[in-house]
Amino acid sequence: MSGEINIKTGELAIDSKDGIIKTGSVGSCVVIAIYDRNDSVGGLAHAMLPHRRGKKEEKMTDFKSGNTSAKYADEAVENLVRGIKAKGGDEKKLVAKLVGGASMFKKLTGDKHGIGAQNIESAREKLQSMGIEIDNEDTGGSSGKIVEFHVKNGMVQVNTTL
Amino acid sequence: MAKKHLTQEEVDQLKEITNIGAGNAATALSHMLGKKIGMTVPDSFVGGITDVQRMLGKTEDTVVATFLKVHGDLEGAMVMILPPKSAIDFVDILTKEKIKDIKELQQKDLSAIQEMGNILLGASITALNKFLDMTMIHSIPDVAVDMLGAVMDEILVEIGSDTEEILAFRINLHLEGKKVGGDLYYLFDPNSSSKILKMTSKKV
Repeated sequence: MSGEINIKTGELAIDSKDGIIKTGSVGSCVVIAIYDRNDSVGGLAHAMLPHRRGKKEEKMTDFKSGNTSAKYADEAVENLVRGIKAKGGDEKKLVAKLVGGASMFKKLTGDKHGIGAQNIESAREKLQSMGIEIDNEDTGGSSGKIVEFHVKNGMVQVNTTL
Repeated sequence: MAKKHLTQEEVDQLKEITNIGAGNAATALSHMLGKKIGMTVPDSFVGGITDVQRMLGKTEDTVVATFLKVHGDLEGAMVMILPPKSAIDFVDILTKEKIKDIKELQQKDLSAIQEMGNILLGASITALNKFLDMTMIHSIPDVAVDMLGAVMDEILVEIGSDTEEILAFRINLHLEGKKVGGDLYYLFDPNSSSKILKMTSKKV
């Protein structure tokens, strides 16, 4: 499928070929792009929290929108991989890119243990445990970002508003 | 336990809290600027932190956000959100400095806005403490200029990461007859709703 998909916080989308997946106003959230280098299949997730805290897993029903399968960074990685495989991607050829995990208010959390840093850490750990290489990242800092992911070549375009 | 399904009467009671807090903030702003201040009817929302984002509106719009954390009998945060044009106008009123674009805002301008936020949000807390017979204290304020969704994300997670739910109120304050103003957000841990209802029930 081609065209543009916009995802909100807590959502993810999978697409192939000329597809573009966008998400906006990324602050402390982490945006995870995973794609199959050879087969033009990939997905983007916008996760808000690092981990689920002892609740039952919700079943993912819809890859397009309105789902909360990407609320937690670690589960977002798992669900992205599951979705990419379902679309014909090869698990062994996956690479990832990370954006976000900023700390918008320095006095709130400081740089080290803020929710942004925890989100990044959680995504990194999960990617590592699944053997997915992180190709590139634009994480930390104190700016909000808008992310555009081009499935075809895995390009991730990051914009700030100021 | 969080009360998810509030009756209309309970919602009205909770909204009244917003009027009381923001009323005091409006008075403070009026004294500070020597101008009449108008107030809108408040919105309220109880729900998941990802859902609260949907209440925000245009999340990619740039705003100037002043925020402080609230501790004590109620746990939460208060935020003042100014659109760029209003932020520039307030800087002009407060410091007599003419700025054309939000990108030109310097640290001292942001400090002026932060102090305005501190006064307004502090006045809100004082009013709530008095009305609810509670003790809440607040942190020092912090200010950020960025996308609305990006700044609110972090605040929502900070308050709601345990329960992943939020009790949110929003009200708009503006110079009467002018398009200069901003939104105040009162964000609480969802457990706060039952505490507020208990106290307000005693009052009426």
